[in-house]
Amino acid sequence: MASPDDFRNLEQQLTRALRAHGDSVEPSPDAYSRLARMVDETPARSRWIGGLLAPRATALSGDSLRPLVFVTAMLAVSGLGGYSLLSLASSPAETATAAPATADVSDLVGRDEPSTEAEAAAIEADRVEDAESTSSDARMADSTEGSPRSSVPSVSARAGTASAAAISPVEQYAGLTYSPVRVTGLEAARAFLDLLAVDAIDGTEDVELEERNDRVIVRSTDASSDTDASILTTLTIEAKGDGFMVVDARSDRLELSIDSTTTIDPTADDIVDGAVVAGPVEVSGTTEYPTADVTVALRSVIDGSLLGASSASPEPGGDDRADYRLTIPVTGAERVWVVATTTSPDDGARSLAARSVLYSARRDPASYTVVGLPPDDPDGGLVVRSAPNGQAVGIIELGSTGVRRRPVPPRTVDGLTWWAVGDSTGLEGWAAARYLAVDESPAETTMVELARAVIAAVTEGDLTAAEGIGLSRPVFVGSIVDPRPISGPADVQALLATRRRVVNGGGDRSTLADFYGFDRWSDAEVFVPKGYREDGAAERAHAFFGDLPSVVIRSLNPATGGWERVHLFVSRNGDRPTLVGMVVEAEPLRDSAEASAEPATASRAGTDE
Amino acid sequence: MEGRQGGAAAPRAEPSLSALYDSHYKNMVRLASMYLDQREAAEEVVQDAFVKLLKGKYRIAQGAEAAYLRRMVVNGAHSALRKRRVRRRHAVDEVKPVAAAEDEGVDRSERERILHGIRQLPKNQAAVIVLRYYLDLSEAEIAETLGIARGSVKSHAHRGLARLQKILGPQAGRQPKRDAADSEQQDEQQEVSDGLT
Repeated sequence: MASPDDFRNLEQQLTRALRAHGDSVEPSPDAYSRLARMVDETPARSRWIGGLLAPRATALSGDSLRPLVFVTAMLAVSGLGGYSLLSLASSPAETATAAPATADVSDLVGRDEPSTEAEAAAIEADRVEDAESTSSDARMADSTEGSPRSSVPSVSARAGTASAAAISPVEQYAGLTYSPVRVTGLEAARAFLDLLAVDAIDGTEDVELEERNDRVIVRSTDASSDTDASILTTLTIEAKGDGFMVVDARSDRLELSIDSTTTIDPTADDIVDGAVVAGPVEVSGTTEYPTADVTVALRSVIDGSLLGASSASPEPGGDDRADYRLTIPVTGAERVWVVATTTSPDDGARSLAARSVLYSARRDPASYTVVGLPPDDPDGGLVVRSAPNGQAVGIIELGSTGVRRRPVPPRTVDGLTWWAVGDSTGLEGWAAARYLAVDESPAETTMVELARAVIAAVTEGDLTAAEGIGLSRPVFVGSIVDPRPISGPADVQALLATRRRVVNGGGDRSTLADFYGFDRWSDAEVFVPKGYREDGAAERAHAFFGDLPSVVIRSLNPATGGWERVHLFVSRNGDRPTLVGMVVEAEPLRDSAEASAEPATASRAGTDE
Repeated sequence: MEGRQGGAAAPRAEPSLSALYDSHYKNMVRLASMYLDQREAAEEVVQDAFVKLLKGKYRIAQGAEAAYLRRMVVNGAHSALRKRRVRRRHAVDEVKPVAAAEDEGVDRSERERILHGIRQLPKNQAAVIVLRYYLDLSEAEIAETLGIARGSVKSHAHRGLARLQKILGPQAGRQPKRDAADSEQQDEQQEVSDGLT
């Protein structure tokens, strides 16, 4: 432990160093002109969906809000904050309602009946008044402007009139449809807490939520406590498009950190951004309740389902706090909330801390047994071929186990479904799926495999294949997209079919091919990005989807001669991989010579449009 | 900024770019440079904050622009650092040499060592250290900027100092490790290779 004198010396050293460094930094000479250009070229941000939905807005009772809050939880933690996840049974009026912050705190703590509309209106009025009041801080109040982009053909119009009859088989399979309903930070916070079944935080009474900028403060209203002590937990909620996403929950009484986020194998083919765990999720932290166990749970950000949990007894430390540490094994790939909770043995007060993390842990390939062949089969076993219905390359005997699927999508030829298989002898090829019985779950294991499966499903137009690919309604994000009406796989295919084939090879492209691990597709390059440039458009697209893994299809648009990138965002719902969104990123037209000579950083201002 | 509506409780004047630039730009670039060792990267973070302030859908209370910008710059710089770390783990291309910064004096190595140490701290600890010892903000201002409780400011400051002490070690004036700078160069190169070319 450092002594106060050490800190004093360090503080002086810090002050000197930081100020000296600051004084040495001067803006570039052309900073103002560049900034002015950026400001000029950036369209004013506004809600282009809200205006479409506003006429449909109706008041919601507490009862009708409950399912909305529930489904909002799923979207709030799934990175699709601006888009309510609606049950198929929802009425059009409900699906199109811009939900006000009508839920009372009693809904959160579960003590009372749902609030009345009058109470809800009063709460909302207080919130608005607070947000609008003169503030000495940088409080950001939401604009209530109209929708200058209302002419954009958006998915919102279709979502607003969605009905059970209009739901496509794909959407039925996916079980999801998205509607761009505005969600407030308070709703997202309440839904998040509701999802976690947290009925009280740090005390059973006097809990209130306050929306402040992009955070929701959970505080006690105990008049005897001072200001600092009254703030118990902070939920950090980021604006995502026209909605919010809960990204973080922090408590002074219970701290949580993810310790295993740097163990990803950089040579693996995983799609990575943000906090990633390649193996067990190792967490640690401190608690103010040394005698109470800390429970850590992993919950899917898609549907909140519990994917793992573990408890640990804290080890008393040198001060008032105690340390805890535990490990939760994981398999497969999933973006999850890591949620730590503990309960005070004195007064039952419950504390909460949460982080989001993506894990992508490899699972042993599923194994299969050869079945269904007659004992006197003339071939002596299952024929493995070089290609579906191709030349025979070997035989796997009836009853053989240990056959494994390769991470290659199945193919259907001559009415038979063929799987790419291999065995321990090194034999690899294609075999008829009807003669292979699974020994264990054939779930795909990594995000890359998942993404490729999605691509295969999209390109082959079979989104209800045995692989279990689901497709939700694609989503567009603000100004970075080509806002054409796309509502399903046929539209995806129609879009890409109009793009010119791109051929890999030569110069920088081969380098990039090595980097990205290019895959081929008939109409465009398909690659899985391992990172993306911080130039605005792609960054915001990824941020909107909560850093979900994506597959990028890069293509040329013959009509404009410009590059486009179609980002397909992928997640899992349990064992069901799901394409949760699509963003079409169009690059502005540029002279080819200029484009080739222009450094990457210079395109930051123009890529958004 | 057409279409912006005045608040119900207090009228707000729209800030002009030139006024904002004169008042805050240099200070914000310097603040961002505490996290990002290349001026261009720091300026990008600051420019994004300015654009968001001027073209965003939020209205800022009059006189609160500096606090808003501080917050956006701190968050933006942290975000940039985080993404660099991710890309660094996946960098496979060779590094293109970047011109070395000119020697700015005998204190430079010590400053770099301290900045390198600060950049290794957890987000809030680093932010508290910078806001307190560079901008000389009060605990209340830091709490507001970071959206945390005052008590948390104290604990982050204490833990940050303790951790920084450990990172810097007893040998004051030691030459900074070059790996960090090299990694940042790799990051820059990575940005190029991640592009659309």
